[in-house]
Amino acid sequence: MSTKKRRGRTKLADRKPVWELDKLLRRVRELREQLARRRERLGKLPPNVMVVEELPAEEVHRRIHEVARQLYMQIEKTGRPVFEIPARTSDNIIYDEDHDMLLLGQKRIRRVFHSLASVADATRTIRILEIIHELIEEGIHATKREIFYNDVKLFKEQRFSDNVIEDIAAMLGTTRNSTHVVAAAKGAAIGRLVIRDSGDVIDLTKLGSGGWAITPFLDQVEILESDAELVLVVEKDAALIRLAEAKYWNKLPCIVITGKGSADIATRAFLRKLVKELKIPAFALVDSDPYGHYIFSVYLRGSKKLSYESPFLATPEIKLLGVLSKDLDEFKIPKEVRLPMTKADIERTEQLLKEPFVQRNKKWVRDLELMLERKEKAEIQALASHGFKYLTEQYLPVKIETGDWI
Amino acid sequence: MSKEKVVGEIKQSTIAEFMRKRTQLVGFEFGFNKHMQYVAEFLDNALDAVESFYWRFPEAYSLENSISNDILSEIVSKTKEMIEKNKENNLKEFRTAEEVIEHVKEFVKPIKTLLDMKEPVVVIWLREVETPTFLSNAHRENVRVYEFTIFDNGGGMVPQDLKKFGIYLASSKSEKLRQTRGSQGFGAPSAFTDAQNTTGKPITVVSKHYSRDKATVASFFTTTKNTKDYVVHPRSVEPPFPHGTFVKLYYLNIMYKRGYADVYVERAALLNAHVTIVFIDPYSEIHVYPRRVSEFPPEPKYAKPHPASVNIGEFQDLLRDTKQKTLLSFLSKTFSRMSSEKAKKIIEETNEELKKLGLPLIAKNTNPKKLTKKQIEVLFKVFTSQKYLAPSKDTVVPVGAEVFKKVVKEMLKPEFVEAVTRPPTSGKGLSYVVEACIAYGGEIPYTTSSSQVLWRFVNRTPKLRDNSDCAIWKAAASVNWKNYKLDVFENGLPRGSVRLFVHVAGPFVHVMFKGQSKQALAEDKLLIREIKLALEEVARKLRSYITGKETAERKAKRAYVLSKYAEKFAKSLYNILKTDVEFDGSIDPETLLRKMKSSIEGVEETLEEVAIVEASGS
Repeated sequence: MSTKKRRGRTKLADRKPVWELDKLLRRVRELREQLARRRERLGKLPPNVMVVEELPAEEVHRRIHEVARQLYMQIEKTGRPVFEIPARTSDNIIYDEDHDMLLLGQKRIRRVFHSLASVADATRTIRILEIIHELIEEGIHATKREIFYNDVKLFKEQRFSDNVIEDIAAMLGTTRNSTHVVAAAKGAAIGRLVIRDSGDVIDLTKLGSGGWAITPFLDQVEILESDAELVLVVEKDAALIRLAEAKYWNKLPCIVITGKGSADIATRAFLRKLVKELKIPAFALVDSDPYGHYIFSVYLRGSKKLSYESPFLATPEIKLLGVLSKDLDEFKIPKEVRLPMTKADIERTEQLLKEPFVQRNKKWVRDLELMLERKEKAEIQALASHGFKYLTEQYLPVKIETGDWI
Repeated sequence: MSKEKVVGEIKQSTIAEFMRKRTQLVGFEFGFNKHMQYVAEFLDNALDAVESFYWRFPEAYSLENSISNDILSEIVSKTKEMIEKNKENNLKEFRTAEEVIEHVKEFVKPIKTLLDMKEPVVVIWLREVETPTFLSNAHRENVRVYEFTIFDNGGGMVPQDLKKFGIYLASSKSEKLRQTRGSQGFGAPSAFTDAQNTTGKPITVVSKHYSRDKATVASFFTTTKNTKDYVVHPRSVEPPFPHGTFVKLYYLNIMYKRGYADVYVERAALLNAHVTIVFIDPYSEIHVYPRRVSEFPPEPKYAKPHPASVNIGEFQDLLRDTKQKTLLSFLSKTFSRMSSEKAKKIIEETNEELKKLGLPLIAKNTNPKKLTKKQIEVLFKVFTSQKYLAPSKDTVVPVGAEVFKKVVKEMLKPEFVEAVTRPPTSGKGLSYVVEACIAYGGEIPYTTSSSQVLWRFVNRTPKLRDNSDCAIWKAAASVNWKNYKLDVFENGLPRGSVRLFVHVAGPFVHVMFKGQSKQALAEDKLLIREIKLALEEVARKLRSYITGKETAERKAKRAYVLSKYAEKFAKSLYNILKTDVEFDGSIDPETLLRKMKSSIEGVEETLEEVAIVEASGS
């Protein structure tokens, strides 16, 4: 992108923020309408993909028994039990352009007991199924690590039990959360939102500066009310603290969440829940480097590893607000706080540019290309070179008002 | 055969005659091998003595009963007593016949039961003795005096033979070729020479011929004039044993080390399992190798020279030495596969050639000693250009695959043993047979030395020296052992808990030895091919055994692993099923487990496993 085209236009740095909400949020509300219409347009997932649903505990319980009965029948008939598990391999991953999501095909693997190659995994599978069955009967949750320590001798390494946990979720056609197996969550949320978490009503505007720690047991969380107009997803804890100190939601009706770096499943699922239930847009604020863009992409469409439950973790509605490469000039970020890109950064950027979901977004391509051209990166904190309040008083309102997102 | 006719079979030849026929000498150089050389020469002689006695007089031995463990322990304990009684290890200098007999009686006491049972037996005792003062310099150089004593209950020697015993070229063997251990009667005289040269001590011999009432005792030096110088003059005495020969001598050599003489005895015992062999080594360790078979090998027949094996020089010698009066009888009686028709044809064709050359003709009744040099040359050319039947096979006596397997199994206690005896074949006009045996696993120690893997035998005699120089070694190294599921050394021999045994038998071998000590067989294409085929045949059987075992092990391991997992599987599945209202507690965990376990045997489900089952199922 050339700056010549913009000759005569004032730089965003010089634009005066508008604090009148109707004006400030005009573009956000337009986006909201747009997304709502798009949601109506989208039908169901195509028929040739693995339909993974979030399920109530009773249904998961019923499905476990279904699997167990089938195994019992096989043993009665031939003595040889076998599991049929949807393959979570890359050749079974389908990119659904309409839904902008990764999905699983219907390819299945047969995990037979009577083979030296698969007997250990087959036994691990029934053992974890037994554990999940117990979790559901007891109405409790466990982390992957806890499950691993349940039978270290059989599982040997945590990656083996982790793998089987994902297999079982896929086999039961549900999300891992629905199997009551949770990953440790590290994210936090704060802002204009009231929830009920395990029976306790929590107002997220009254939690000091640290916010509410996102729980892995999202099936226990109920959204009670919110008048937020948008969700701000920030890459780092530091940005959340900055916004919390300013009680920013009082100025801008928003919910702020962070995954503290690369987002865990609970944070991603919580973001999705907010966007889906409140029907408001979400904006990401990440570092201006390829890693920041990658973190954004994980919120947007999920990571490959967990692709079979992508529909429950991805938030295709999220927009990349900043910090964009072009913002460095637009907001006159001083050269001293910009960093040269490393070789690894350049490679990572080039890789991102090859992804089809990036290629379909022309604005994104342009910004990444600009990054490659400049070979410069900057953290969110670089905005503080104009003063600590620059992020809240200048950068965010101007970006939001002008609708300057990807 | 009547007793009167036996007057001795050893006859004296001349050095010149000997040298003409055999140019190699037996080496008695200092070294670990020298200990083995003594054991080898005298053990071979002893075995020959026992065998020839048996062939002449089969009732001499009783072979029906096997030797019990009680008898074996008795031999060991009485041998220990005998060693204890003789523990003052000074050099014995016998002054009288009585002293000798007293000592011999003591020496054979441990095997008295065997002698009474008419068991063929050989006892060897090798020990270090105190170095006499006049040799004290030698001691400093790590050189010691060794006392070598051997006894066999073979046929023994009549006094006439005993006189010639140890005299160069006074041999019962060297005249004609047949399958014998040695072929030149050169070992004992060389050993005697070395013994008295290095220690200055006489050789003591006691021998009793089975046909005589008395034994003969003598203690002597052999002289450079090829005569004897007596310390104790030959004397007839009351026999200390029923029949056989006792020899005692002293020699100088570097310190004894295991791995030479002891290995020789062990290997010799393997292929001479028709004789009990006792070896007392310098550490006073008693090695007893009992007789394991109830039959002696048959006596090999003398091989007449086959026309294909004769060279011009030998042809000339044969003509000069023949007792035949006519050329026709010379040709037809001297060679194998030579009919008188064939002999007549040769004479006719020779005359045609002579005519062309304008030389005097020959006739059927020409005196073979009167031929001219030119006539001999033409005759030889015609003689060698004829086609002849292959040499007859009755000159070859193999050990036999069954005996081979039995003795290897009993001595080495392997997990698997297989042996093969190839059909007889011939080379250089002489017949031979190749036998191979392979032993694997069990109590066979894992070895990192390829010389321990391959046991070479020629006419039942172990060959330990010049390993890699030998055709047997080369043939064994050329087999692709990896094909037979064995690890290999860099030199191509198999390694690990495995032993190969190759026996080449027949008069053929005497013309195939390389070098003076007759340790290695020369490379011959056909011989190497025969050995290789024999080894490959037993190796194939080993491979299918290993494959079968691997399959069984894999099956057992699989069954073990699967049943371990089955227990966990059934338990976990049961824990889910027991809460299932549909089954209403009708599920029995034991039945689940039993059903899973019962289908562990049988065909594997994955492709890879199926492939293995097919490969091993053939």
